[in-house]
Amino acid sequence: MIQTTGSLDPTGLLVAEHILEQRLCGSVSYCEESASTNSDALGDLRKQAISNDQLPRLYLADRQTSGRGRQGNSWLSGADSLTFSLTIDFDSVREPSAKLLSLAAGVATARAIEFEFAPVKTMLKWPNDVYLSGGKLAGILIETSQAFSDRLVIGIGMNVNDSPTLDSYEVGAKPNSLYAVTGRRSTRYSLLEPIVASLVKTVDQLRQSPSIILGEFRQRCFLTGKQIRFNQLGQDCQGYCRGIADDGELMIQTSQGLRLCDSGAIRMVRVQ
Amino acid sequence: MNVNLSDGESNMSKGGKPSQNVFDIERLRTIIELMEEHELSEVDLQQGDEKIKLNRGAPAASYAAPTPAAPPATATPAAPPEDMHAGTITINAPMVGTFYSKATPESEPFVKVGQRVNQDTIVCIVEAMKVFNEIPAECSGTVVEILVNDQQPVDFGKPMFRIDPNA
Repeated sequence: MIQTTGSLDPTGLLVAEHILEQRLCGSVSYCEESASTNSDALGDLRKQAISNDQLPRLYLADRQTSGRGRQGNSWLSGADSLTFSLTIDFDSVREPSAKLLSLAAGVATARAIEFEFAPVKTMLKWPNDVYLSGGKLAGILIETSQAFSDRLVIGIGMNVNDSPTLDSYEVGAKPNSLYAVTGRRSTRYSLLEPIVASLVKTVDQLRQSPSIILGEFRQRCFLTGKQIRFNQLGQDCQGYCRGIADDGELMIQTSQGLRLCDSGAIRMVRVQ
Repeated sequence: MNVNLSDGESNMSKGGKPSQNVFDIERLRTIIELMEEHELSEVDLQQGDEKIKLNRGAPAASYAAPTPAAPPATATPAAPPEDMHAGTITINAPMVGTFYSKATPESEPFVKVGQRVNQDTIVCIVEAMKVFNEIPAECSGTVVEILVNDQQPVDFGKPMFRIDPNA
């Protein structure tokens, strides 16, 4: 079942239809322009229950005008970027592996890119930014509500053939695009199906074998073994990143001892 | 006799809705009778996340201890602190994470003290490992106190808002 709004990119439409045929998703909502596909997905969940047979439900927009990141940060899409959200059946409180879901979303995206653009190697900046050649290629925002705790929305924005021009960016987080690194142009929608398939498979694998996901994240971890700076409760701190703990937390050796950090506890993590 | 009903620890988030059994008036009546019969001054009841405290607030009971204890120099009000919150309920964190009182640093808080909320009112976001979780009030009433600061860490079950369901 596909719901469409506006005049759509024919390639996007073909890919969306193929995703349904392959039963990777149970339904698709595709529009020409959206403020934020995550907001669309959450809006639908607030209005009505999305039944299991409609899941995973893909929200696609040819143009995203107000993409969101963490706590009001903007996700600036270049003209040729891929932005979509996927509503899945996942309880962020009760699933035993819930704390690793963010990492798994990053691993899923990294796997798909590496397969499609072999032999490139991506890095993952904890908890789930996807990096390529030292630049940020993709951002992931996961949202849910205790009003519908068995549903969760994973939003992904990826720079395919170009990257947004920013007035300023945090050191170490300059944007990058697949084209800039690989020299291969691709239609943005050629990546959609591999990433959706990878997400579905990786979330399933997270439930079965979380240690595999954790191991793959650790192999690609951008911060491990580096001196990093970060902001904790408003204070600038620094330390040595010892790696990722089994529950997904970041292990930082500081002069005060070893700290285990949840993503909300530390901000502006950057390599020195 | 003074009976305080307080479920200040109740988890109003998913899975912690007030249980009929705990609030069953006949059951409470029986317990109060038993308290009187056995001269018990306080009974705590807990079922799941729900908790009720029954106090028989006897002011200087006639059967006071034979050795008179000097009252403390700084007399505290007779009412224990829980009394201030009698009849209120709290909305508790459903998980360990970081509390956000507003959607973005620039936006207005989801709720303010004095604001009425209903079951569906979003009161905050709790982030756990970059999963942002909207928390609905899941109760009706007026916000009397916000117990956590924006961007502060919260533990599982940490009371975040105090709600007066009768105001």
